[in-house]
Formats: sequence, C-alpha cells, structure tokens
Amino acid sequence: MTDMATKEAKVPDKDSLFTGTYNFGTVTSKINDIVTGPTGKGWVVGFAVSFLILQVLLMAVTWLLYEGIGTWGVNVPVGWGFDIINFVWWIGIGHAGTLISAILLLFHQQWRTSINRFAEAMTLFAVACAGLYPLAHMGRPWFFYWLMPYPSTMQLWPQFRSPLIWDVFAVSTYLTVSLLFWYTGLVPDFASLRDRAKNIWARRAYGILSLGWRGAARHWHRYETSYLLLAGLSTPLVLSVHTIVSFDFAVGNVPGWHATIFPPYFVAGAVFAGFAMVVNLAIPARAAYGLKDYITDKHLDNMAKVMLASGWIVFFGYGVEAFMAYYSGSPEERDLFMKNRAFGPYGLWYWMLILCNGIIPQLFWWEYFRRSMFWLWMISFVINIGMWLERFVILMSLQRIPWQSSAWGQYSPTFWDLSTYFGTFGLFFTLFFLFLRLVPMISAFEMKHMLPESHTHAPGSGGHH
Amino acid sequence: MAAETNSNLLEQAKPRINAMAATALTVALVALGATVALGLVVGTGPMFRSLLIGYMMPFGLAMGSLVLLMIQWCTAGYWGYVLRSPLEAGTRTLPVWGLVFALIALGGLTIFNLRPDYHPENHHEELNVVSSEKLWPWADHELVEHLHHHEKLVVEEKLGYLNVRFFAVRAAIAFSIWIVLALLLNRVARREEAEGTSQKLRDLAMQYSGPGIVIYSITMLFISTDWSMSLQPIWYSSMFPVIFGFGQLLGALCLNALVYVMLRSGIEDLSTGRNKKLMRDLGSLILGFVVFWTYISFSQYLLIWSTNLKEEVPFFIARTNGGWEYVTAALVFGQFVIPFFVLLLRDVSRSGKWLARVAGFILVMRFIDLYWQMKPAFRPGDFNFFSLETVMDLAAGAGLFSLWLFVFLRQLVRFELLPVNDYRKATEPVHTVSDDVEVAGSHG
Repeated sequence: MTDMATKEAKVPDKDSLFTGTYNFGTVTSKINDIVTGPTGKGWVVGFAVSFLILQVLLMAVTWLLYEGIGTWGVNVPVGWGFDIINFVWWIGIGHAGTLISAILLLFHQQWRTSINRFAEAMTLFAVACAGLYPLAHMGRPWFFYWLMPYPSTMQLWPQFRSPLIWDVFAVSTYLTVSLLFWYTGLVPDFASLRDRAKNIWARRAYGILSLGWRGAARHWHRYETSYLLLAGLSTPLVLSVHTIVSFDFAVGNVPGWHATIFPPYFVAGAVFAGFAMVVNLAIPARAAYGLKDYITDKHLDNMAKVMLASGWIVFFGYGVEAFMAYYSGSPEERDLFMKNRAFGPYGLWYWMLILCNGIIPQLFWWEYFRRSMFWLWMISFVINIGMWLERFVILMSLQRIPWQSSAWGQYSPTFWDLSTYFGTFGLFFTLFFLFLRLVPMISAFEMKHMLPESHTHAPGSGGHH
Repeated sequence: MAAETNSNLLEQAKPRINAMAATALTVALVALGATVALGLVVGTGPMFRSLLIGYMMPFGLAMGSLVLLMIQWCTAGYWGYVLRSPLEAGTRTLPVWGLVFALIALGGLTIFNLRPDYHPENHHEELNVVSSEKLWPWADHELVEHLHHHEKLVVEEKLGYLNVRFFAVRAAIAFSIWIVLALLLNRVARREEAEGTSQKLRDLAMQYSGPGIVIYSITMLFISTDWSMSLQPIWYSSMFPVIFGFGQLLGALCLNALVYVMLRSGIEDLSTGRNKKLMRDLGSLILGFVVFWTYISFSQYLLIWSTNLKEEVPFFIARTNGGWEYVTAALVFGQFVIPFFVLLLRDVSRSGKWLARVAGFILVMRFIDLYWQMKPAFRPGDFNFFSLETVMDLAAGAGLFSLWLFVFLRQLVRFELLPVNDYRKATEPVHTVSDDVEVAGSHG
C-alpha cells in the first residue's frame, strides 16, 4: 500500500482524463466518502427544494385524476399539447446515458469512465419523468395494462399499427435494460460500500444490493461478460426509442410531421439534449464534491464536441425539412413551413429554436467555449431550451393547418400543464439528490482501471490514455 | 525503422498494384466498348441511363473516401492511420471523376436519344414520369407540358430548382468545393511527409475537416436530389439524401478495408498484434455502418408504406413488382442479413481473409443498392434480368468501376501506403476491459 501511495501520477496536462495523485485506496475513499460521510448542508437545501417542487407534481396529478384531462389545455381538435412535448423532451434527455455507457464502451472510449454512472442515473430519472405523461394522459392510468397484449376476457387487443403501442414496448424495454445495466455496474461498488458501512442498517442494505459480491475472479469474469452483453443490448436502444418517438409524428399523415428524415434527426436531437443535460448536472456536481480530478476538463471538452456534432445533424435536419417543403412542390407542405412554422404565429418560436439549437452551439468550434465552465454550462442550458422549443414548434405549427375549418384550433397550456411540467423537475432532482447521497456517483473500480498500477504489465503506458 | 518497413511495404506491393491497375484498365476499355456497342443496338437513351447508374458507385467511393478522411482527422482513431493513404488516393480521383460526370450529364441532356424512333415502352406510367428525350425527365419540357393535371402541377412547381442551368451550376460548385477540400487535405499530408508531424499541422487538418464534413452534407443534400431523386420528379423523401450519402461512407469503408487486407496479405501476418485489433475494429465499424444503413433504409420504407401517399408510395411499388421484388429481397439479405450475422461472429472479423470477403461482398451490394435506387425510375415495376438492357447496365457498371479503380490504383502508388510521419504511428489501439472478456461460444 505504501509503495503504491508513493507512486506519482503523471503531471496533469489539459488532455488528462484523470489528474491528481491517487492509489487504489484513495480512489475508493474519495468516491465512497461522499456516500458514507456526513450529510452536507448544500445537499439538504437542494433536496428540500426539489422535494418541495415534487409536491407541485403531486398536486397537479391529483387534481388531474380527480377532475379529468380537461384540466389540461388539450381538447378537440388539439389533442396533444404539453404532455407530448414534455414526454419527448424528457425521454430525449435520457439518451446521453445510454450512449455514454453502451456505445462508448463498445468503441473503447476511455473518457466514458467517470461520467457513465452519473449519466445512466440521469437516464433512469428522465425516463421516469417522461413515462408519467402518457400514463397521466390516459385519464384512467390504473388501466395502463390494457396497452399490453394479453388475452383478456374483453377480447381487447392493442392496435399494433399504432406507434403509440410501439412506444409502450420501446420505453419499457429501455427502462428495463437501462436499469439492469446501471445496477450491474453498481454491484462491485455496492460491495465496497457494504464493507465500509458505519452502521448495521447501511451494511445490510448495501449487502443485499451487492448480491454477495466478494470480488472473486469468477465474480469478475461473470460481471464483465454480463456487462458487455448488456452494453450490446443497450446499443440498439439508443436508436430505437427515439426513432419510435419520432414515428409518433412521422407515421401521421400530415405535412410537417410526415418527414422520412425524422428518425435519425430525432435520435441526434436526443443525444444533443442529453449531453447538454449531463454537462448541466456534471459541472455543479463536480464542483460541489471536489471531483475535478475525476471529471476533468477533457471530459467536458469531449462532451462539447459530441454536442457540436449531434447539433449539426439536428441543424442539418431543419435545413432538409425546409428544402423538402419547397422541393415537394406540395402547397400543403410549403404553406405549413412558410405560414405556420418559419413565419406566421409561431415564427418567433421557430427562429428562437434556430438560434438556440443552430447558431449558439456553433461557439463550440472554439476551444475557449468548450473549456470555459461558465460558457459551457450556459450554452448547454440554451441547448436544453432549444430542444424543448423544437418539440413545441413541431407540435404547434401543425395545430393550425388550414385544410378544414373544423380542424382549426388554438392551444395554450393551462396552469395545470405548467405545474405538471414544473413538478417533473422536482421528481427528477429529488431522485438525483438521493442518487448523489446513496450511490457512488462515479464507478470506483473502473477509475482504478485507469491508475498506473493497473497497467503494470504494460510499462510506459502511463496512468491515462 | 518503421519508415523502412513502410517503404518496403510500398516496394513489395507496387508490382501487384500496377498489375491490378493494368487489369482494371483493360476491363474498363472492354466493358465500356461493350456498353457503347450495346448502346447502338438497344438505343443510346438506355446507354446514358446505364452510364449514369454505373457512375454513381465509383463516385460514392471517391466521396466516401473524402468524408472518411475528414472523419479520421476529427476522431483520431487508429484505423485512420492505416486507412489514410488509400483514402487520400481516393480523393485524388475527384477531378477526373468530375469530368466523367460532365460528359455523361452533357450527353444525357443533349444527344440523349440519337435514334428518334426509339421510345422505350412504359407499362407503368402511373408509377413514374419517364422521358425518352432527356436523361432527367424534368428537363424534357414537352413531357412536362403533357403530364396529367396533378403531376404537371407538382413538377412545374419544382422547375425553379430543377432546370438545366441551375443543375449545372450546382454540380460545378459542388465539384469545385470537393476538389478544393481534397487538395487541401492532400497538401497537409505532403507537408507532414516533408516536415514531420506537428500539432499545428493536425490543427490545420482539423480546421479543414470539421467544416468539411458539414459542407459535404449540405452539398450532398442537393447532389443526391439532383442526380438521383429527381429521376422521379414527383417523388420526394427527406431521408433519401441521408441514405445516399451514408451509402458512400459504407462503400468507401469496405473498399479501404479490402485494400488494406489485399496489400498486406502475404507481406505481414494479419492475425497478430496491431493487425489483430485493427481487423476487429474495422469489422465492428463495418458492422455498425451496415446496421445504420439498414436502420435508415427501413425507416424510410416504413414511413412511406404506412402513410401510403400517392406522391411517395409509387417509389416502393415500382421496386416491389415486376421482378424488382427479387432485387429488393437480395438487398435485404445481401446488405443486411448476411453481413450482419457474419460480422457478428468475432472470430470472423478478426481474420483478414474473412473481413476482405465481407467487404468485397458489401461492395457488390453497394452497386445493387444504387441500381435499385435508380434503375426503377426508368423501368418502374419492370425488371428483366435476361435482357440486353440489363447486360448493358452491368457492362457500364463494370466499365466505370474499373476505370475509377485504375485511376485510384495509379494514385495509390504515388505515395507511401502508411503515412510516414503520422502522429498515431507509435500508438497501439487501446487495450480495454472488453478485450479480455470472452463471451461463451466465441473464442478470442
């Protein structure tokens, strides 16, 4: 132990993925002490505020169940409003977690290591928030199982041609696999928490969660096999979930929604928004818990580059939509774009969306903006707003299509729409604060892989790659 | 030491490459001669169509090389180091290939039908507008004039974009931009060869490559619309440019994997050390690309099928009837099912021989894919494998591909096969946890 401790880490350069002087012992302490140590004042305040906001959600949902869907601004002919916008927004945010944990693992990207646990947790909480909307919109959510194909006495069978049914399968698979992946990765860390727990209840709880892990070679072998298999299973989910969400619109036979480019463009948007949210959470968290040696500037720089790339795909998608509206030669497509999207009543929103998602993220071409914590946080925040506006514009511009006067309708969110949306932030952050306090937010044993000691068989390979 | 090995590699491979280039030239001359001869029998109109279809695959290889070259500068993966030289050689074919397009397009828009009595039978007028006077139907004003009411309205709405002058301007601008990008990136390579690698040079290459990828996607939106999508002037699909562009990447990746294996087999052991990991990485990349191609192609199909709009769905009716359904099925199996399951076996992608086979197979499928994209525009819902026209299509495809291959191989031997001063030369692919894991049933 002592000779390991004297081993110095390399002089940190700006591209390091792991800085500071650590050994196996100090890595475990640094990460686990956040969980086993005393509760910080900041955490208590943060948790209390989030919990308070969660009560707003509780109130809004209770009122909805008592009074009915009429409390929302949706009605005939505008049947979808904030519910679908926020569903798509939240579920999109979750994608960064799956991308980081599965695809970056399969592509041997070392920079996933310190942010994966964090991002995966974010995925789960975002999916939880997203799932609430369709459930609540059913009006009678206790009958949600009617969406499942089962031989019921009523001979009720879901409509398999509807993308809304595909959503049920896509989202529930996504939640299940993400949860398993996250939990499997946590097992070794739960075991070390069990061994370091200061009271019997914590030891028992972590003991149950660690499934009898003793760190035997056989455990590690099985662990790594299953982790890799789960990564393989998660990979198609990065594409499938948001593809099916895009089908909710694109299968609909209406201009502005029925665009064949929607699937990859939605997926890119999800990755874009998801990384923005990871950055928005990682910057404050690493500052609050002193984790700058683990989540380094290089990690954030890489995330900014992913946002630049996925942002361009999204921006390109807007361009293709505009071009195809013209090229189709169809008066409906052209009118929709010109009179209801780029100009007309929703023009302002459209150009704000272009500004937030298209123009401002271009600052990431410059290293200065990728490395400045202030700018990085601000731009990521703007991207999250932009991605919300995107869904808003896609949805709203359609609600005023001038084919049939019977289909004209204006939508405006009610107080309860707004409070439901506001309340989901409470749910998200309550879960997030609990995660910070109860679960190691960085995978301790994977960080140890990055220490020089782990590479004794390859001299000169250094402590980082 | 490493530089020596590199020179040896070029010296050892040179005679083989030159021999391949000579064969390619012979095949090109014979096949293009056959195309012209068949053209005189079948008609010059179908000949120009065959040439346009045959042109697309090598064009895709050149453009795909340009994009992959820019991507490897940005992502800095190890595969970029070994594929860089062939990719650069691929981009240097662009000037010649621009000229070839100019010849085909000029012919297709002017002398297209030298036999005035020739009018191809079109049994499926409802599926597409086919012109017997011009390669692209929108350029045939008489035809547009006599279209049915709805079709006429739609096509006339597009004529502000689809007209010969604007079409030519777009092609000229696009080729100029691509050639400039290729020149700049090749200049970086030559400077690196002369001065050695430096952060400054890498930054310069990245400054070209990042915006270059963006420029590529924007130009390809217009070019795919112009050259291929507008052959069916009523039809439109916003996914099509993505499928068109991504196919170029897939083709170029397979070509370069094939080139890598072919040049080295017999010279080095492909199943050990650096090569072993590289083979696996290339296999995974091709697998990922195949899956993505399937994803975008299937999404386009599903959305058009489910909506069933009269502007859109004829595209698929034309490709699932009258013999085309077999080509469609061949694509599903050949460009997805077979490569997917073969590449999924880790052992296969680690063996150079198998990787080369899969890559070669996908390259053949790339031609079939492009054939499937374009040919039904001229013969919607009507495919006869045993016709002179199909023979001519194949001859033109083989001829133009061989011609391009000749230019490419001549460019390939001009410089070192492994960039002598690349910054990744000393690095090995990173060893990760997943390398050590052996999933039951698959032995590493």
